[in-house]
Amino acid sequence: MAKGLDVGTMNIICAEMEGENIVFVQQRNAFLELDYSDLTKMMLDNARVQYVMKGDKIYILGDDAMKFATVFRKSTRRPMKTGILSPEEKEAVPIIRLIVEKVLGAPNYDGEIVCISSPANPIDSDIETTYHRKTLEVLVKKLGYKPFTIDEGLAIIYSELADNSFTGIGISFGAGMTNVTAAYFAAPIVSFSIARGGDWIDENAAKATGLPKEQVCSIKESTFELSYEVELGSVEGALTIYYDYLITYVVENLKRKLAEVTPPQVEFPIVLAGGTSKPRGFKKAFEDKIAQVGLPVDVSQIRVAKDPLFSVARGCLIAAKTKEE
Amino acid sequence: MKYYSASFIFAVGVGLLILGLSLIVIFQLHYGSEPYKVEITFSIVGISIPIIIHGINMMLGYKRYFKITTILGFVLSFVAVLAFVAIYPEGWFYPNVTYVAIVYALGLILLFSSSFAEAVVKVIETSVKTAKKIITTETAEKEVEETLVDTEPFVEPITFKEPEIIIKDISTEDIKLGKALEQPRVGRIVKVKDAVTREAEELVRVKEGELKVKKTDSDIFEAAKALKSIEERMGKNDKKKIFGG
Repeated sequence: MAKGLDVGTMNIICAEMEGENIVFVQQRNAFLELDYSDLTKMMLDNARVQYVMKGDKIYILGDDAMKFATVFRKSTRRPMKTGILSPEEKEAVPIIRLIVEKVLGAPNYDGEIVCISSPANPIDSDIETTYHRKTLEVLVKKLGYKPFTIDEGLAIIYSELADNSFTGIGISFGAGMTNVTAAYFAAPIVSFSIARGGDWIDENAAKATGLPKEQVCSIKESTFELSYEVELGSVEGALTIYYDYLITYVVENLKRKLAEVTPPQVEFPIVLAGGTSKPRGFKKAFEDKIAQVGLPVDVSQIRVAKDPLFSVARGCLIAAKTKEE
Repeated sequence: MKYYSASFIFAVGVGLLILGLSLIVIFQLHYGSEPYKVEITFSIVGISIPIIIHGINMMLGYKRYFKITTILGFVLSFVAVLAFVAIYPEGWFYPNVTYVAIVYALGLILLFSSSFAEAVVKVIETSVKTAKKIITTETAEKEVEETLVDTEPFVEPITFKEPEIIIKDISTEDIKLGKALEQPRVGRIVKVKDAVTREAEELVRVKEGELKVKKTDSDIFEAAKALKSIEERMGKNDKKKIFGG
């Protein structure tokens, strides 16, 4: 047995095999702080809400935190920001430890292999990912597992490009970051991240329209379709503008980074994954941008991962299985 | 030190030559000049030339027999000058003049020959060294080693290992779990009929270099174009031989 763990800014997802199935256990990487009272505790227990108590505070975790945030009109807090552990959040480590523990569960045997996804160092920010990576490895090791990490983009290649001998480009459009890896025979030739993702789109669209960020995020995740015909002043219009900006930014940087190396003369399929790539029309917008900007490799096809949200966890599971004894 | 001595000898020779030429002017030498004036002036001039050449040869550096040649040339020239001083003016007539002139000329020839030979040897050695640098790896390695020995002691590059930091687990004693979190695993569970075993096996095979990547259409197109071009340039008989049919 082995497990794959995708630790993202928005979601923490575990993937493991169960007979002929893959079981994904997903939890929102968020929490909401409430003041403690016996009444609140009783109400949460009755509603089977996931929470922990610490001192005179109650912390509602994961998906339940998102639901309560909407009811209480409060913002959730995030243990992670721009793809790594948030230095601004003092409760980041204990909360993420708890979520990871509940998502991974206990190991099936001592030293079970776990492959954890990790962001590559960003090219447009001074963020350093080593501390984040090492902290997660330690947290998972303390649970009795034997962890190792791979880049998010590489995990997508492992998950989606087996038929092309793991050669191609994997792009993970996450909430905090966009991770890009180009690999040849499963060996990364270019790997980088961009410190912009779904959160960046939400924040800017919220600022532009004056709506709360959570509401913009909710619209983006439920009804939004990436179309270039939008109503002026609408949330969809603002989302489209920032989506277009993000895609342009990613494609231009991918072109620049590929030009710095000498990519082999083979076909490079591109696979798009991550929650931010889920809106309809995303693939077409990306294809149009590639056609406009052009890449120094022969792009054979562009497609969205079978399940964009679970692709990284699935890739991590594949990587973990290769290390099983 | 060698270069200082050579420079000094060369400078002495030049000084003597200038002195001798100056004396010709000062004494206003002519056929009827007093013998001692002629002897002093031409002895100085006569000895200055071998000294100059000896200085040049020393600067070039003696190689095996060239040192003997130079010294021999210098000695012959010096003997000729002494002979001139000894026999002038009483014995300064044929065939004595001829003998002295021949000995002196022979001395100069040996000195000049030595200089020329030294210069030629130096040119040949330089070109041989350059050629060796280009083609011989051993020479290059040897030179690198020599350079390293001459400059600084070689230090093995340090490779850092991943730090084995022992991190204590964070205390969770003050954290109490709610009822819903008492289960071992909590979260949205999605089951998908899917198996990653095949992908995992293929990943291992790729890493071991057993799978191939599809070449680009442009590569295939280029190969087809090249084949067609070869075909067109060949006669029909050649085509049959190579492509069959």
